[in-house]
Amino acid sequence: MANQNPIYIDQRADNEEFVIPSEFKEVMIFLTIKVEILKGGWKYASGHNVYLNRKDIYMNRSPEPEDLKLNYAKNLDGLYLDLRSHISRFRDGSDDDIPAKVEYELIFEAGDTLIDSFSRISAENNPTDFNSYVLFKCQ
Amino acid sequence: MFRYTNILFLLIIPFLSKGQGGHEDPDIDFELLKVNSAPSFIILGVEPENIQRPNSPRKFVASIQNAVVNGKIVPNVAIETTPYYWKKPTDSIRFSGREFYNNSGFLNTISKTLSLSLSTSETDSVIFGTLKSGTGMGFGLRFLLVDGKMNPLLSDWSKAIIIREYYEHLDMTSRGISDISRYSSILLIETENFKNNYFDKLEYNFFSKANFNRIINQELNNLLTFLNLPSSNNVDAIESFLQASADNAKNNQAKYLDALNSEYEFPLAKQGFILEMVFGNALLFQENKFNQVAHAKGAIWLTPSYSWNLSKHKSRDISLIELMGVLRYTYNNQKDSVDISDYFDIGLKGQYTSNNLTFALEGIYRYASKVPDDIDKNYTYRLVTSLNYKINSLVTFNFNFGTSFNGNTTTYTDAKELFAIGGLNFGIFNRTGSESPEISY
Repeated sequence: MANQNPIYIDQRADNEEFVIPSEFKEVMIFLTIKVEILKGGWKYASGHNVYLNRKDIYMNRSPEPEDLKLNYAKNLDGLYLDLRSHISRFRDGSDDDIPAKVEYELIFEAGDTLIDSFSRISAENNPTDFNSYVLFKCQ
Repeated sequence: MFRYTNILFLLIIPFLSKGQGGHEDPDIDFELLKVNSAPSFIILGVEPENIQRPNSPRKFVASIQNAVVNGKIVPNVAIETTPYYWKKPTDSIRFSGREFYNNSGFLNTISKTLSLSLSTSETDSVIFGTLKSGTGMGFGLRFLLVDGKMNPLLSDWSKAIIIREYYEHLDMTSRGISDISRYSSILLIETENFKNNYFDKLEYNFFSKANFNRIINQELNNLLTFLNLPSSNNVDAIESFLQASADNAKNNQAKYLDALNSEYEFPLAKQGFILEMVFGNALLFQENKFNQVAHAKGAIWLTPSYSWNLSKHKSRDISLIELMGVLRYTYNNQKDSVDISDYFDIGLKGQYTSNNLTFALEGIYRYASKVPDDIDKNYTYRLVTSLNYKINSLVTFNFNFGTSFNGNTTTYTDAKELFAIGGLNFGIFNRTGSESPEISY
């Protein structure tokens, strides 16, 4: 069964299982987050809290993590990834003060191979949060 | 398609005017004195549509090389770049908190804000006097000497972020733990961890270490107070407290963002006293030959500005006082009649802006090193007040009063014109799009 989109917008994320195919057991798993602002005249500020089994693995918070090492797939089995991304938007010459919507993408890769990617588009509330709580399965 | 229509009429035609027969009327107003684009473009008198913005030394050199083809300078080149960001290319749509906040020191301000520009254009005799036609090249630089202070609402936003990060850190490091004693001890351990290790990790922390710790200690006191309550003796209650505290900080974040974005078109722009230095120079390569280069004109600007935001904190009402100044020295190639004189201009403008009212007073003083024989004085000036009052969403009243001068450098005159002009703008239909045309008069 395909993995479900684990991204929740502006609410606490429920636990979603994320199955890593067993063929990647011995492969390093990477996480990438992409943020795109969908209207001109705006800038964004972002912070990404990435905790793996309650341990902060991205203390810098920003910019968006790119190819962040999680662990080998076999070691991730049964671990929780708690992800909370906060995006604030600032006017940068926009004619109005209605914040730009934001597209948020989560990408999981095994080595150079894409396992799954998920995306969601926010509403116009500011700030907006993208939360995920993932339980890894790899068997 | 027009969705907004203005009907204009003059209330008062200029009531006192001593005409300057035969003279053009190219008033220099304050806006024209300001440096509204790259100095190389201004000095060359061009408004390029395609501006190259190289963000690395290699691209910059390539841009320069592309400006010369077969030993000749190519016209219509426009390049603008900020060398500071060659080393640190940043995404133009991402707010870099560290770059924004970590800006201490005079030299740092200059190096961070220094921008270079270069442009070329085919010339004509009007701009460059008796010099032979060819290709003009403008080059310029500008930088801030004093770059102002950040909007105080950004400090409030930053504080809300720190508090939120703190509670979320506690929540995320304790999530799933059911043993209450372990849970409580983790909260205290992680508070120390957060204070010791996250101060310089949070990109949008705009506070000193002491103030950062003060903020966290305040929240820790709130947490300890809660933990001492009898009702807090279970994990669910503490978890709810952490989440409610994070949500409260998020609400504060939202409140400050709303205030920033509703009050300011550029809320990330620095405020207070700002001082900018600008330099521009134009050369002319006559007949497009390198060995026939001649200096045409140049200018140096010094532009101080100060703004006070009088709006009530967190209010949507706009109330802003701005003071702006321009000192400009323009030096011309007089030998080749690019102009008969060098000029020193001082411009000052004060403006009050509220939701419905804009009131401005501006003055310009110009001194010329030489004037034509039929002109008595080496100086002239302009003083103008203007008022713009929005009666309702459809009707705006405008009024201007003052004295002006003909600023054309070849028809230099005294300040003798007095004028008063008023008018109303009527919007017939609701304005529904930002692209609606504005009609000015």
